[in-house]
Amino acid sequence: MSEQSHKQSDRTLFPLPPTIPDINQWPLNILSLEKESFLQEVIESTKAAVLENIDSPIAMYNMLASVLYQERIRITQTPWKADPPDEKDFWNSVRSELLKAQKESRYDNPTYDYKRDPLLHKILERYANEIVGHFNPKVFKFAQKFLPFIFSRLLNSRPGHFIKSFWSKKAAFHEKFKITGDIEILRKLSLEGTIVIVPTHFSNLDSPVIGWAVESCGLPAVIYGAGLNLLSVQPVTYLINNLGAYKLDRRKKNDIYLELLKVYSQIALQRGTHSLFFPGGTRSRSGAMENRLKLGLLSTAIEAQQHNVKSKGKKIFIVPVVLNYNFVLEAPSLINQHLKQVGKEKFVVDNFEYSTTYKLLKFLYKFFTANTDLTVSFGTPMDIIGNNVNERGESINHLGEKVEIEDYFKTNGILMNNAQRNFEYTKILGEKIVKSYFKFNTVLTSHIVPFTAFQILKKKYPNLDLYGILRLPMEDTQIEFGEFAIALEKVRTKYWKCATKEK
Amino acid sequence: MYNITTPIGILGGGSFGTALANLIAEQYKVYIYMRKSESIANINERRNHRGQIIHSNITATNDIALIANSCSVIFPVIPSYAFREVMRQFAPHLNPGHILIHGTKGFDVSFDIENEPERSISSKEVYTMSEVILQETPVVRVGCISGPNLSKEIAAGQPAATVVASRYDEVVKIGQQILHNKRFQVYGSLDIKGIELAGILKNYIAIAAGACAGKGYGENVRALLITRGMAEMIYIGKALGVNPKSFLGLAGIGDLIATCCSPLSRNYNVGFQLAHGKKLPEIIGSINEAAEGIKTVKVIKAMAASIKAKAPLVSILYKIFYEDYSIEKWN
Repeated sequence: MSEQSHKQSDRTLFPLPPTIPDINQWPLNILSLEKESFLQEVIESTKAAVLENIDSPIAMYNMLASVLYQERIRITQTPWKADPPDEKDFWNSVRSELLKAQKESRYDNPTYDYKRDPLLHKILERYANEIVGHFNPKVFKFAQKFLPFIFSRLLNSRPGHFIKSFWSKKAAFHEKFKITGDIEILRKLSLEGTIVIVPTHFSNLDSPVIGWAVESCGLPAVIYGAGLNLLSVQPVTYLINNLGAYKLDRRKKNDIYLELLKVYSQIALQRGTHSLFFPGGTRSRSGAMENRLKLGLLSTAIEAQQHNVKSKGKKIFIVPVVLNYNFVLEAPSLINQHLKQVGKEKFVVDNFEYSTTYKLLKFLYKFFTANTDLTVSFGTPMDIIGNNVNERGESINHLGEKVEIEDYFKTNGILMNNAQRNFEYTKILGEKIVKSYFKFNTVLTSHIVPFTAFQILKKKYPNLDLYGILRLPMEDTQIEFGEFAIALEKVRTKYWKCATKEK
Repeated sequence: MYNITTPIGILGGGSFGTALANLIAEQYKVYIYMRKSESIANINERRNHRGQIIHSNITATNDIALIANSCSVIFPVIPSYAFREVMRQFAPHLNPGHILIHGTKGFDVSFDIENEPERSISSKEVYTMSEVILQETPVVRVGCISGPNLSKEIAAGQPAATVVASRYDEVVKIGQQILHNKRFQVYGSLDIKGIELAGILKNYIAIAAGACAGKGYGENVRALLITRGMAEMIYIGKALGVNPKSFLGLAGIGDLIATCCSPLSRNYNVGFQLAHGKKLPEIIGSINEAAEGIKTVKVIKAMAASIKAKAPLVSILYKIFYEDYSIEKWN
């Protein structure tokens, strides 16, 4: 926890004025206006990337057949409401074209120009059009007004506050939902380069919360990937479709789809669109902080930086963000999934017990949400290799010296592309992001109180494991207040020490 | 193939550094960094250093900025005790575009182990040279060279092979390109820590091998020492978090056999002299280059408790070095 930056932003009055007042000039809007050329670039670049691993007509056939096979299984086994109505027809047409080509022995002919294969183009085009987001400034302005209201309802369920929270001013709203970190630097960097926000992931609310925090800081909207499954809910579909989010389908795991996603993100970054990734991938089940990141999307930031160094484009800045909720709405089901996964046979679901625990948690939630409900802590911005950057956007390495980002991509003084090197850089960046999560984490009342209580129980029943403790009857889990208060003070003091210690 | 137009830098003019410079100079221009003006004169004027004739492509200098500014690939070959200091001196002149491939088979400890020999240390206080480079300089693309490379044999133009290791395949490829020639085969590995540890750990086993040879023991004992030594290396390596696979290659078992069999090895020599009744300070005084194995014994001994590694060879060597344990008693 960085004390200095916390204090600094406590004085800041949110929401801040936008860095780019004209919404039409926002990078996301510009990307949306240039959609056609952007999609063309995405398709062509994906094609180039896919072709790197294909060296013959027969290899092309094998790849297309494999994609078709996986897609047909998906259609029959996991159909979604959000799927387009012509999904089946499309893949049937791919199938008959592939069969026809096979009859004509197209892929058996070694002279066939497989690099211009029409089927590959057709599939890529469909994927690209499915993924692509649209940004509508009018819808954005509408959401801007209503998001705070929705959050108040979702995060603060104190009875009788419905109407009040609806009419309360934005400033009052910001007292309950805290944003910390050096926002001024962030604002400057957003004009100087392209920002990639990489938050921790605990809740489905994370994307809109970040969206709101970004807007409160006066930054232009960011592009992010939304699960296609969310499109089953009508109002959400409308918002997602118009706020620039691109749509991810977790069922599609074939190589060309994943490649296209990466290229999409990379080219959006190259074109200066501020972005949001959840590098931890899925939501944390145990509530533990991510310590292993998924590097796929993160690597697109490095590839984009390499491209921008060559084309003298903008610098890319990585901004780790820690989100802390007093209570994560979907916690009971996430915790349940975690217990089930880790405990296996030990985890016996007892409905009655569960409902009392749930009631207890709900009670705690209501009790402790009297204070701050949510904190969004922006960490120190970094370059793509994890060096801190100053307000001028210069990279300052661990020795406190200025370094030039292009030097990381030079070999013998010449700029050179190298995917393996960039992947190693991604790993370094991932480690730096995790470190930053731990540094900028905020400990809330709702974390420290149950933690202390649980530690007391663990001490009281040294022979029981986690599952044993969970099965204890209610009367055995009572803790005397005096004992609890002393223990809590101890834990608090330890946290303060951690916070003040240089990490 | 990379188009390498800049000269190659070598830091350190020990016998291995000089042999390496001569090897590289067959294809590239080489700058060799040395501190002593006497050594610089040996290279630049007398064209003879540490018993090796110096190739005409080699220039010696003590100008740090000149080397850092003109070379994009640099090979530091400095004893581990001086490594960190030299890296600190070079750091202000280096940038992330540089590639550093070191050839030092020793540990760096975060405090002066000579002054605190009794202190128990954790593996977090012990670094390999690639870690020192990352800590002290802006360079990220770091590699190492390790293998059965007895300087005198390389200097004599005999065929040999080595391993270049780095997380970055471009560093491995560049290292291979620079070092490779008709007599010198260069293998590559992406497991830098494994290769570094293999090179570091084999040194103290060579001391033990030298001691056995000094006592007049023959090949049975040597074979015993090499295999049990390898088992101990793997044990320690695993405790330090590396995959022991690299220990079974050229930089591990290959280097171990070479140093355990050759009187040309400095570490072997230390053991040999010990067996002849000489004391450690006397031996250190008599050899004019660092025998890294001595420090390695000290470091592993201090680390053994915290990494929970069994290291019987290290314990015996430590007793012989510092506790007046008679080598005669060791059977």
